[in-house]
Amino acid sequence: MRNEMIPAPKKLKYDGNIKAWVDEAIWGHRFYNDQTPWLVFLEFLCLFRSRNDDGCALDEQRKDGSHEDISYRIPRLSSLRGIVFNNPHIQHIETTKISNSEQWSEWMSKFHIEGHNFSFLQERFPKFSSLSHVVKFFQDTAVEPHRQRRWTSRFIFPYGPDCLYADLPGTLHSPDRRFFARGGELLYLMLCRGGSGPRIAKLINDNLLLDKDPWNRIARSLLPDNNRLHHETIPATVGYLPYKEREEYTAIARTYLDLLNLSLSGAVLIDPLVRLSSLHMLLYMLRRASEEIGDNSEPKFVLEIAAPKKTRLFDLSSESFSANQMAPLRAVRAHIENVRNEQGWRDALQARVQGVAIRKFLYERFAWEQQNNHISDPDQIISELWSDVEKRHKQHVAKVHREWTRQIGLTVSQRGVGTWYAPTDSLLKALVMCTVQDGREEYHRFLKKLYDRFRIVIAAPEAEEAFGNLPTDQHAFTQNAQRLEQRLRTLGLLRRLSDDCAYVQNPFRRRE
Amino acid sequence: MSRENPLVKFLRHYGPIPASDNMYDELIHNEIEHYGIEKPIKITPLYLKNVIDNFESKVPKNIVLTGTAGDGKTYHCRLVWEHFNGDPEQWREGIKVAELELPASRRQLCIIKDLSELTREEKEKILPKVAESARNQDSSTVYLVAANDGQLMASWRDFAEAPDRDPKYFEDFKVIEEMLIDEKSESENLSLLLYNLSRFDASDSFNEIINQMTEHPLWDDCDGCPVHSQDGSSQCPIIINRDRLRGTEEKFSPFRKRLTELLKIARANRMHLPIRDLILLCVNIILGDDKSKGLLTCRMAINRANDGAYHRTNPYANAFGANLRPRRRQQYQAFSTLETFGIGRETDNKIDNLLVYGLYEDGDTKQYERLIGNDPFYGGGESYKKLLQDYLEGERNDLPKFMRSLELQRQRLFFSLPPDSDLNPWSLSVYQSSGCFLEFGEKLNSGEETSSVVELLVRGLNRTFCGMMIDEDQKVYIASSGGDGRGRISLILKFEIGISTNKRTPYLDFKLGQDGLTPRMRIVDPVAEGNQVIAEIELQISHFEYLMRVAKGSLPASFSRQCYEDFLDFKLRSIAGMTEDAPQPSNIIFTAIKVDKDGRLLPDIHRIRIGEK
Repeated sequence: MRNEMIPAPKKLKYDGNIKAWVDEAIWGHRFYNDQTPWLVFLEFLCLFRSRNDDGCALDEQRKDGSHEDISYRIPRLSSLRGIVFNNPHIQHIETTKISNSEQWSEWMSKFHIEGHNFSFLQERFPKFSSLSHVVKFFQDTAVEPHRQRRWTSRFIFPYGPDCLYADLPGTLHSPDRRFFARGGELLYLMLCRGGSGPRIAKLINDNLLLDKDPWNRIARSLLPDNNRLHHETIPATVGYLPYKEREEYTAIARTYLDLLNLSLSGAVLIDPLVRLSSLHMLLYMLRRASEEIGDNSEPKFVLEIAAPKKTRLFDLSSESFSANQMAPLRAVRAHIENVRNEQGWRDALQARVQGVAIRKFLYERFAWEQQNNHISDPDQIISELWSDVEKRHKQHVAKVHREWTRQIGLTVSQRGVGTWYAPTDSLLKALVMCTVQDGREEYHRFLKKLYDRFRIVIAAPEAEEAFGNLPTDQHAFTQNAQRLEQRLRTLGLLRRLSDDCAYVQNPFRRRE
Repeated sequence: MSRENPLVKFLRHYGPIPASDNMYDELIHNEIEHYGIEKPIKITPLYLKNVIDNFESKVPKNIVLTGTAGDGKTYHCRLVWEHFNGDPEQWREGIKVAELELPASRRQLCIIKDLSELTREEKEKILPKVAESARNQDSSTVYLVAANDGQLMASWRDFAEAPDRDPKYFEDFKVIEEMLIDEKSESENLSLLLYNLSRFDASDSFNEIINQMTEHPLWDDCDGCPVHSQDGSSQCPIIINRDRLRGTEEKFSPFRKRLTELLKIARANRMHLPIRDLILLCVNIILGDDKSKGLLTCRMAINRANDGAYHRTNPYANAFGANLRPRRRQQYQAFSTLETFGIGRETDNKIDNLLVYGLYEDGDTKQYERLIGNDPFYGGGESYKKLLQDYLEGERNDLPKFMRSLELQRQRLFFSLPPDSDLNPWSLSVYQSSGCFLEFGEKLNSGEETSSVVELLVRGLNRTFCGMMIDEDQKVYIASSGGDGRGRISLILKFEIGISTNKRTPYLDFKLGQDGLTPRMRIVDPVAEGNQVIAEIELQISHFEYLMRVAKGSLPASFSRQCYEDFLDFKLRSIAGMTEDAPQPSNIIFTAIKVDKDGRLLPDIHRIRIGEK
């Protein structure tokens, strides 16, 4: 069931952009380190929104044995993003010019975007200061404001469907897939195949992408009436996710249902959704890696809860980090080595012109073309393939685990000490909001749930389950769990009833 | 040579002496007999009457007693057993499950005096029977089960979740779990009463313990002791400490009052002290001795008196377990709980001025004499004066010693300031608004006017909600930071609500929680269908202190991370629960907020005309 694979669409695999179809074959098209978890989620929302307009959000049909064939369009919204992110004069004009009309005329003379006329703004905003305020608000609440990205890759917070637009290069021409690198498409496909697509789509529509949200309407007010014209949108087709059904898909769907069912405004739910989506995607990445390597063990994240002194848990956590960090590369290696067991490879070795046959086979298999055509020794060809693949893998996919875990608050790095798993407060809160049902959960069961759902190891029983036996003395884990308890308490997320009993509390109720 | 008072010997067994199992009901029983104590320390078990009344009724219910170790669960069970003529010998043999017939109902009563004594198999056998009986009023057997709450929940869940188990057992589990957490003793669905012995007001029991201990008739045995004068006054540190707790003038003791208040606040902060710890605390105050790192015997007490070594027996320091080694001290909840109040470490300018300069020119010498110099044993006597003088003259070799003695004086003042003093003892604690907190609770209880405190709380809340130093205290401004709502500064006003009860629009009010002590802050929508409380938050002492401090100028996010997060969540819940005005088709209006230099909030209304599609 879980291992039923969908062949990669030929037009994707052989379109010449991909030098060797190995990372993609293992994990899909594609994981990319420049795309942060936030941008994965934004790309997902853009795709979702487009498919929602077509009436099939998260409810995509797939012909037997073939991949979903999904086309979608993302708006450019050049005027909105220009006004918010490429409008350096506005605050200065507001403070230096006194009358409203002066402010408007000064700004109109300084602000231009090719092909746009902004006179409509003056009709909509009777006060120039209102426009300035709105611009400031969108800037202040922008996505990942600390990152110095080109202005065409900066995004306003997704208050509603009209706040979603494409990532573009500085020229505003066709997209370069640098930040919307298809991670959001993978997320979309996982949710489609996770079994609860339509329910999740409804929750997203009802809570997250609200047309009537005031800030969504304000965003829309920055757009000319003709913004929905065809040339103002960018067409795209969805990438590739290899497996039909997997536990990870249902797990991620469950997380979406749990979070979206909390009685909170959608905006508050975005932070936990961003973090936990990527956590699930990382779990998928690690499990797939184990499968390729032929290792039956489950992935695990051993968390050290920050302690005043270095603890034994720190070592375990660092080891667990390094093992996970290395797993994708090992998977790539195994994937390549495994072709030697395939009939196609054996046939090629028997062929009359061996080199040609091997090259042909490897092209079919990996869309890979050998640079040095004069080499025809099978082992040398493989090692050339390997070196191409390794290079490519190390540039992007290999970095995903390290970067995403840091961005979602799962790891800490320290110069001279290394990197290890240690959660931030925001991640802890997201985990509590997601896993604690009915408002509360007994503490030890909460820890168990963190393991069952996210492979997070904090206390002894879970360590024993994850490692098969306790990797260090029980006391170290007990103290680790106590430190987490203390942390949760200072976050207002835990209540101790007695010396014997503590409950983790979800500060937010589920919708009735 | 002096005699030893058997009471002192006996009390030592309740204290923090090495044998840590000294307090179990069974063992203390033997000590009482050993020393021939006719009137042992005996706190009427809180729920004994309820338990006995229930089992005497024609249709008795099952009872579960939970609580922290040391709350008296076993003690309750033994008294019930004895009340219904169970054989004390049989009890003392240590049976795990005791059975007898109830006279009124002719049903069998089965007492499980400690669930944790049962093996897994035994639990799996007996818990379903308890569940059956709880579901069926006519059951021929009723149960009295004593268990730690975590244990009870874990065992019950284990058997209820076992494969092939009828799902109704799990429903029972959920009911009991809810009773436990929501602090309910009865249930509509089950014939079962749940008493959580950790929910009692420790300050009441503590007062009773002090009474019994300080008024015990065996103290008369001290007559004729060499350190006991004819006129009834005594140089014996044990007697002195006892009298400080007991209160000599008209039985009033500031020491006792403050301890009681500390316990009340600890309870409001969900720090529970079991009876066992209360007794231990009381014993340690009276008998604590720094020299032996333990408790005084009569002989040691006489030695201290003869040496004038009263700094070794300071009851105000004993209250924090200062006579014990740190490792030992940490084992006892009583001390770790009181420790969190920071008394002695927290400073207050007024009081420190008095302690340091009170003796000298410009100082308030009269006040010094009245509050500090007046105590010949633990006050600002010669040794303190010597250290102080050295300090003022610039001698720094003994600085740590001086700082420690200053701490002790602060502790002494905290426990001894008379109620009419213009110095506020609570300014010496971490929770400076404790006095106000207790008073606020009492006023809410009696329905008295609370507006002056409410205004401060509202101001603190506004500053937290908006992230700006607003002075508004008559309205609550619920503002949003935009984005995911967790930004520190919130410039967009979402709702503005009043603070007086109102029939039509939402308002903020305060109600007392179930414990009769902790206020709850609520946002009520009087026209909502169903639950009109949109959002609420329990104001534990830390939350209360937080709002008060923020109202008085502390920065919201820096004083306490926990409180800040809690109020932020409260705001997000409020926003989610409030109904926004329906959007106008052709307009969008939003209100930005600014604060002027006087701390007034200025709404800045913006209107956007929009031709909606």
